[in-house]
Amino acid sequence: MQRLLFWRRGNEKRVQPEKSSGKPSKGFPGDLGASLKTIKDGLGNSDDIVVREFLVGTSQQTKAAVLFIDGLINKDMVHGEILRSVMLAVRRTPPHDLPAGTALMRLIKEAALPVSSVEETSDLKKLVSAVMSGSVAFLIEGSDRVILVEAKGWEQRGVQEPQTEGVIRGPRDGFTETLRINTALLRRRLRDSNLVIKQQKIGRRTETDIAVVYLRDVADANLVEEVNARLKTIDIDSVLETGYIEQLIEDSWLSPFPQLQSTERPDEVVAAILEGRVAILVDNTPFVLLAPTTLNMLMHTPEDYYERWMAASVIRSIRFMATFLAMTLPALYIALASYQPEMIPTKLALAIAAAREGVPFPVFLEAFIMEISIELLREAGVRLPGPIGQTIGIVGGIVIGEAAVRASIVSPVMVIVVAITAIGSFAVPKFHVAIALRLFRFLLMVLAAIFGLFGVVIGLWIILVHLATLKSFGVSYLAPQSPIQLPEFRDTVLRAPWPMMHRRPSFMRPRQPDRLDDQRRDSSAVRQSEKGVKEG
Amino acid sequence: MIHRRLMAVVITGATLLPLFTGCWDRVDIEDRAFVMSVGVDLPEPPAPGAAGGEGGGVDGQAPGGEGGTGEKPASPLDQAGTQRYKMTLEIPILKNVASGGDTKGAGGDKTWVISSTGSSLFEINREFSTRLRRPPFYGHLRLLLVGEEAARQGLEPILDFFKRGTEMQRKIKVVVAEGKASEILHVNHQLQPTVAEYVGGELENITRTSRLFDMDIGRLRTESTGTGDILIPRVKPSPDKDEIKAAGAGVIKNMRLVGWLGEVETRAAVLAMGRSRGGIISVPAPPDSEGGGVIVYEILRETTNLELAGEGEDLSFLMRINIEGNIAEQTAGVSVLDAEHIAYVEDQVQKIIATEVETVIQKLQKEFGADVIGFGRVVQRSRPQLWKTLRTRWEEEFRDVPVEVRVTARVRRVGLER
Repeated sequence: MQRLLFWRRGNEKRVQPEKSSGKPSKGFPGDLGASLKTIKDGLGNSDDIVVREFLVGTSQQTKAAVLFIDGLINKDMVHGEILRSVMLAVRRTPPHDLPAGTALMRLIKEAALPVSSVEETSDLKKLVSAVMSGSVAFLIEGSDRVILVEAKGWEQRGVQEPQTEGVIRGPRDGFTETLRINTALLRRRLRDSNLVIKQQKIGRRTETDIAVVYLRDVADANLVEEVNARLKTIDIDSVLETGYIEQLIEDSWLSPFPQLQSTERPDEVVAAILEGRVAILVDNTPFVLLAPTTLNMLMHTPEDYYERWMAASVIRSIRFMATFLAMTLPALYIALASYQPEMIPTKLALAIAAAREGVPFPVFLEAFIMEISIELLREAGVRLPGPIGQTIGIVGGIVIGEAAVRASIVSPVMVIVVAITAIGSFAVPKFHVAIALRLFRFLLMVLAAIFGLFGVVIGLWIILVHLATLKSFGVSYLAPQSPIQLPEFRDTVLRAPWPMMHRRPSFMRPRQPDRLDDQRRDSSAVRQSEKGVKEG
Repeated sequence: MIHRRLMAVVITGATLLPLFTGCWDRVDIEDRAFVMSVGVDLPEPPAPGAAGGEGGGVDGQAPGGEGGTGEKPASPLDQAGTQRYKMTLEIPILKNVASGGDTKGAGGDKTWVISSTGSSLFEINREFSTRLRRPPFYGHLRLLLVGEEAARQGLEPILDFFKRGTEMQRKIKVVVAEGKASEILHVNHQLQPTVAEYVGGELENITRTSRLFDMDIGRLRTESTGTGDILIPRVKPSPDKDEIKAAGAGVIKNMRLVGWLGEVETRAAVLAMGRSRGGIISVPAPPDSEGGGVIVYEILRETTNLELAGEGEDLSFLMRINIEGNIAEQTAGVSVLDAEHIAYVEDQVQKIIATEVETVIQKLQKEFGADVIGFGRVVQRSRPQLWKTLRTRWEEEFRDVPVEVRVTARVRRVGLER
């Protein structure tokens, strides 16, 4: 563990700055007004704090109050379950034997609050944190303690189909911004008592809920420990997206390649957990991190496992090919057209040369202009509102594809190259891999412009060496191709039929290596079941 | 911190790269003059009465005194009688080749044919820079045409340029032109954009006829090693200068052209070398058929086995040719399903081929003394010791070696009528 933590060496844990809320109190003043003031001060006296004071009981009336933050709680629940119970239902009990102070509070907590998640506390810090995340504080005159009633309820997006990782066959639900819904989506798929969901808060100011999810009897204990250790080293004021966590715990943050997988598909997360990997869920974002990951896994889609293996294998091969083309095609075009035209078939060479006649720029500049324009279009397309985005796409396409060629600024062949590159890069299933490849595309183009094919080979070699040095939580990024593990090749570029994939990937070091016990492989079992069918 | 160091190298490199742009090898594809074919001839004799000392004409006519002046004033070497060459390039005109279909016409000329003379091909190659804006690029060179006269002077000095060139590939087809190579390049052909594609395509028709065969520079170099005897396909323009016929072969002895084999002789030679992949043998109708006609036998595949027979210094060869083929056509009005008729066809084919092959071997032995079929290699392979003594006088020995030819022909299919 020490070795794995080297990347944080010298980064001493800073002292937690004291919260603006002030001293941690040992209980609240018994006086209701004073308590409320303490709490309001603790919450920063903001205007979205709602306090409702009221009386409990009929004859010997006791002052009480609820305090919550508007917008974070379910008002129906506060009105219907808390206020109604305490203000009205308590009146129905004989009025004479109502105790006072803390005793009354206990009675209310135990007998009058029909809510499942209720907690008693005297700690201001805990109270502030709870109220901030959607609890209602219930105070009563004469008690130094507060009841926290969980009544979370805020405007939230429902479960929708993920925008970035669509499939043709497979579940359509995607994660949402609410952690609890996300964990529920996992539970619904994995009804296993060994599924562990451990929550913690990261972010000094945001106090974001982070959940680490894994299968206790499958995931490698060292891996879980390592994930937790790395999460513990994070000391940041805010966590707004999984990207924060990803970049703070990955092995080499100078690499353009993502070393954690991020997805908004619950089925993908469950599949990963079942392989012995660890999922990290972060509140307020639909993206979930999976650790460790390999380049192969980043190139797979859930659909590969749902479709029949032959089709899936072919589609995967095409995807790998498209990825390679998206990265290298412009560089190859530059290298072949300016240095090694003898490598192009004669007719094509003549066609390219004829098409290039009249283009005022050298090949590299031509390619560079086109690649930059397509990146520009893509970036602009993300920013622009939906309908306008499409229009701009069409206009840009016409400008690039047609007008630029007519004006002899670029050659038609270059348009084809750029189009294949752009389409190829959309075939990469993970956006964060695609953007890394885009960077390398430009590196290769520059190398090709200077050294020709030699430069392309050198560039690819640099990329390969870099990939080979990468590790994701102790797992080689290129596993199982490097170091070579032949049995694992059944789930790489090709996907083996399910009956052959009876083991979990060994490089994840799962505690239980077997995942499938295929009866069909045992021929006697087949014969017996056939006989059974005939007799039956 | 391996990553850090690696990234430092990458970042430094990427920052410095723009400073190094424009490697000297970088010539954009449209800035190269693609040479599709090269024709090599001897320069024309000086035109009588032409004024000396002028620069070469567009067609590389070399007016001037003895040895020609070419592009430069005559050098002493030229006067000393050094061989001079005329090199003709066929360069496609890009916008006409790539835009239209295959035919010549609307777009104007598909190619530009340009000649120049000099005492070496490399020199001529560089002199083209005074005539072309773009450097000639030989990476897509498809065809080397050697003119008859130049071939008779010897192939070695011509081939050297193509062996050394860094751009040239081994797959350049080599043919000998009957007459001038430049004439072939000026042929007004119709279907293909370039002569290179035209002739190159013809040479690939070996599966349809045996009257021609394929030869490229790599093969020429390996097969001519040793004796320097080899066959090179022959091309010649039609009388109207509108087509190029590729058939027959030039006989090369000691890397010099010594004579020609006709089309039928070429077929026999190709069969003797075991390189036939197609071809037609017409068998006269069997005696029992009414009214003559022929039965056409099509060669499908062929193997030749050349063995050394005889003892000691008393050499003789046994050539076994095995042929499989179909009956492609028959106008004899007989039933080719009869075993009798099939046996007749097989027998006739064997006789025809045996006669042809024997005739051509005789011709090569007696007339040319050129071992283009590779008898010498067989001796070298099977009796290396004997070869050591024979090697120097093989040229003489070869003329009198007896060769027995045994042909086995089989009819595989008789065809199907619809």
